[in-house]
Amino acid sequence: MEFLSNTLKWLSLGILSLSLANAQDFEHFKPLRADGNIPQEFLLLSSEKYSQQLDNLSKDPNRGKGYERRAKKDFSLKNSFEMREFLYSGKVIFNDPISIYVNKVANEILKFEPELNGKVKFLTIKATEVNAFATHEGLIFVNEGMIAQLENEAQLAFVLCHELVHYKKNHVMNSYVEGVRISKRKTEYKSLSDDKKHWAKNRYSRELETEADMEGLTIFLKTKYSIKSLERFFDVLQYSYLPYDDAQFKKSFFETTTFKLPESYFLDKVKPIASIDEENEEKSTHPSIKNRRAYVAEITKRQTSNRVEKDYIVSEKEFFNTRKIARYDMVATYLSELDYPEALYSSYLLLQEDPNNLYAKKGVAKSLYGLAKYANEGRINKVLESYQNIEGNSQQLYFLLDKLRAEELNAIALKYCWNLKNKYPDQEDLKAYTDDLFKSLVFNHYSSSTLFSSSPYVPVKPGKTEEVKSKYDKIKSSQDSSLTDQNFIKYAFVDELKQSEFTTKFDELASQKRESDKLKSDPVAAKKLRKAKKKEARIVRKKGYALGLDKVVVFNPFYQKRDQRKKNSERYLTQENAELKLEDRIEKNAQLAKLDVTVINDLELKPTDIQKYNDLSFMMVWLQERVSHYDNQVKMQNLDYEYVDELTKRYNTSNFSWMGVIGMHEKKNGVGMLIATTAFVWYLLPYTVYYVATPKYDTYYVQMLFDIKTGEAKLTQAKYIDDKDSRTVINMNIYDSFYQMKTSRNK
Amino acid sequence: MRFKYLLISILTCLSLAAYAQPGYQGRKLVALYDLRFAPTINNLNYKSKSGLTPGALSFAHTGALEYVVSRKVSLGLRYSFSRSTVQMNFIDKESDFNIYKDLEDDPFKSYVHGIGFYAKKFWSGNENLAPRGSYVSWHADAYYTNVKDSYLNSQVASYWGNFSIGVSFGKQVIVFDRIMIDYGIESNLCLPGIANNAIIRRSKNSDDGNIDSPSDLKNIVNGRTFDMYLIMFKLGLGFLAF
Repeated sequence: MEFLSNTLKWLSLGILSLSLANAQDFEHFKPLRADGNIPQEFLLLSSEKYSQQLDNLSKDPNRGKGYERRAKKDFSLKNSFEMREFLYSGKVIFNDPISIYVNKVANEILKFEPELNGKVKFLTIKATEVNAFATHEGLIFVNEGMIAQLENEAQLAFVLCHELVHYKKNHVMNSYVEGVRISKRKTEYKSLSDDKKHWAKNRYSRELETEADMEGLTIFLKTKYSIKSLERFFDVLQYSYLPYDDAQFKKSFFETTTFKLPESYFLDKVKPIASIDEENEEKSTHPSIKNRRAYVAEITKRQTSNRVEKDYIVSEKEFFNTRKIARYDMVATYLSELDYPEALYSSYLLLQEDPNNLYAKKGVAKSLYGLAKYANEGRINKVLESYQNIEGNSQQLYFLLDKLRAEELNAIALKYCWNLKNKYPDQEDLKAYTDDLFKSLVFNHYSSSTLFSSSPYVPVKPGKTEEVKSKYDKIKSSQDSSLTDQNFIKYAFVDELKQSEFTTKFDELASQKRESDKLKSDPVAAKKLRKAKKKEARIVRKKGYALGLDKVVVFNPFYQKRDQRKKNSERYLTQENAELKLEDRIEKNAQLAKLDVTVINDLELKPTDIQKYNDLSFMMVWLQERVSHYDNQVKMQNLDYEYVDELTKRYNTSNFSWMGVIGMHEKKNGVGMLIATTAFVWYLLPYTVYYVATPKYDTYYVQMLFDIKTGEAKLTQAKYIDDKDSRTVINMNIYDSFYQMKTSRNK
Repeated sequence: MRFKYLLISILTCLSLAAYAQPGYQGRKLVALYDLRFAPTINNLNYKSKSGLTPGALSFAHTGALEYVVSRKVSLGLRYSFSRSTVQMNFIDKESDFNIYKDLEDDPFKSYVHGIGFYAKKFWSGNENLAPRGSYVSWHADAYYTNVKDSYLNSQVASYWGNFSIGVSFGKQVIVFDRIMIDYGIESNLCLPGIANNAIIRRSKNSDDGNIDSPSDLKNIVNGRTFDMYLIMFKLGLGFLAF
């Protein structure tokens, strides 16, 4: 008896701990990462995949002949290599809560399609668009944006049924082959004019989509999922361009008792939501939602009324939990895509449900920080879409952000971050954003705290103005007494100015600014500074940088080979081979330069290297984000501070380098003209022979070294070398990069 | 003693400057052999017979030690050696030299030893780093010339005196990380050679046309050296030592 009770106790404890492990802590939500073992599809080299696909093709009795067979081979090649690139883009995750749930729903469907069991795999893409797609080799991807918008499990089931048909019917390859057929004007496309080719491709794509809808519906009807949910599913598609909810953006969100925003910064009425349904199908790859609705309705009408209808088979609770996870994760995704207004609105929506959620509050802080930084550099248009294009309640937020001037946005962002940082003092990232915003506020906009009012705004009561005697006093009094677009920001820090920490910080920065201004205005000091800069530039030009680093992580080194003389210029097969050798070269040159280098390369991953996969994924997204900031000349702190911190600790360095080589076999221009000229000007013959007989190669070498803690690009090299991408050229450049990283001027 | 200190100072400066340079995978010293050659149009080379021999080549062998001192510059010391037949076809056959009149070949051979230094500047435009890539090089050499009579097996003259300045354009390619291939074109002006050539011409146009003094012999030899080194092609093989 005692044994049984103990067993039950341990069993219940086990179940409890299991459910706790699965439960998501939304307060400290962490962006989704892949988990478990890396799937085989990720580990196979592209050349191996290609060889497998060729093998399958040779066994396929419907492989076709002539151009059709060539097109299929061509597709297999492109698909194998481009798919791998996509898998390692940093966007794909697996064994995460979303993928796990999607797989459970898929298993319900696969009970009725047993021949597909084991052939398909369901993965998640960290992308905000409402989309899902299937690949030729059976990978079915669902965007987290899709999950965030769905209303129930049945709708997800229909999406999966649709995608399964795409796979089952080989739509991806068929679409490619049909595209070739259209381009080459084969069979029924013989009389097709050039401008109609695109439309013909779209028409074929619509046919495939219709087939996927119809046959998907047939599979769907075999399950017990509710048909009624489909009507609303097409609403999801129709309004997929909107955020997952349409809540009013309240004026009070940024306001406090002492700080109010002017009325003119808010719209009286937001733009009503219209429909984006394509009236003209010709331009679209998908049938119009109206048509899809119609033919699905037609089929569902024929169903018997006694069919069992369920919105949930797996679990309602799990659906809502998964959707919530997707919605939380989308904030991080929006931030990485530099879509700060959407990140802000999504965080706002999350706060409507859970007003004290730290993750959502940090989402607001990060979005405001990003917007303020871009506004300070005069590049707000790079991250803020015109409010006129926005429909629904989120337009209010876009309008506000559009109206706010850089200094106002900076002040509001600082106010928000400062208060949040004080509430959560252990959050290092909030401290970093606050410090940065404080500095930019003082250095770019307000050089003294006295420019802000320390007492709250008090509207002057009517009657008191009668005491004012002159016309000018009246004007001044009226300007001071009403809260206008011009003066409202003066009251941004009424509460904060009562905190000594805030005033001390303000005064410190103001003093630094005065020193810096003094230095700039002093002609002798300015000349000295210019001279020193020139000297440094000269030394760098002659000797290169000397960063004095001991350890560097090289992530995802790439190699591209192109033959510009050919229509399909990518040389996939040689490229992969070259990429494999590149890692050896990196390691060898690191040894020669005596630099401790760790290479994280997707080609070397093993099934258990999930940590490395996540690190690579993170770095690829981080790089994209960072390069955008770099292009826009905006210096920003990391928005995923925690993972950067983890990486830095794991690899014992914050220096991460991304490098690669592009080898080009160039097309020679003007050969015919040169030969013709030589017929008349005979002494050009040696040059003509040389020009015609020798191939023209170019090499591009790219290296970007970042301090991922600060986001600073320490060493960027983009070299064009008028030579072949030989071993010497590659070694020379890699060694030079490492040398500049390692060496120090003090030695 | 002063020379020793000077040498040590120069080497120290060079090594300090070179410390901050990558070289090729850290290798900055190149031992180089260059074969320079020029078409012999109306002069004789060492082996050819008398008369006009188009298509024949004159050779100069060069050994050099080259050191990378900055990302785009390397400095070198070189030793060169060339030999040639000296064409004495205006010798008066009735004078003391008539013993040669029955010989098919010209017996006078010049052996020119040169030492010099050079600076190579690698093009900044093509992102190459010394010692690899296209370059322009400036050089200065001094020559020790030895003239021998191969028929009598006796030394006729030996002297220092010629020096040259020149420029070359070429490309250095590295293979197997250690081997260097150098090719290009080089031009040298042997400065006394220009003047001496003028003397020769005047001498040839003089009434008797005889040259019987050693200085006249030098004029002819130097003229030959000037012609040979004026424009040369070069092809070399090097080794990246360390």
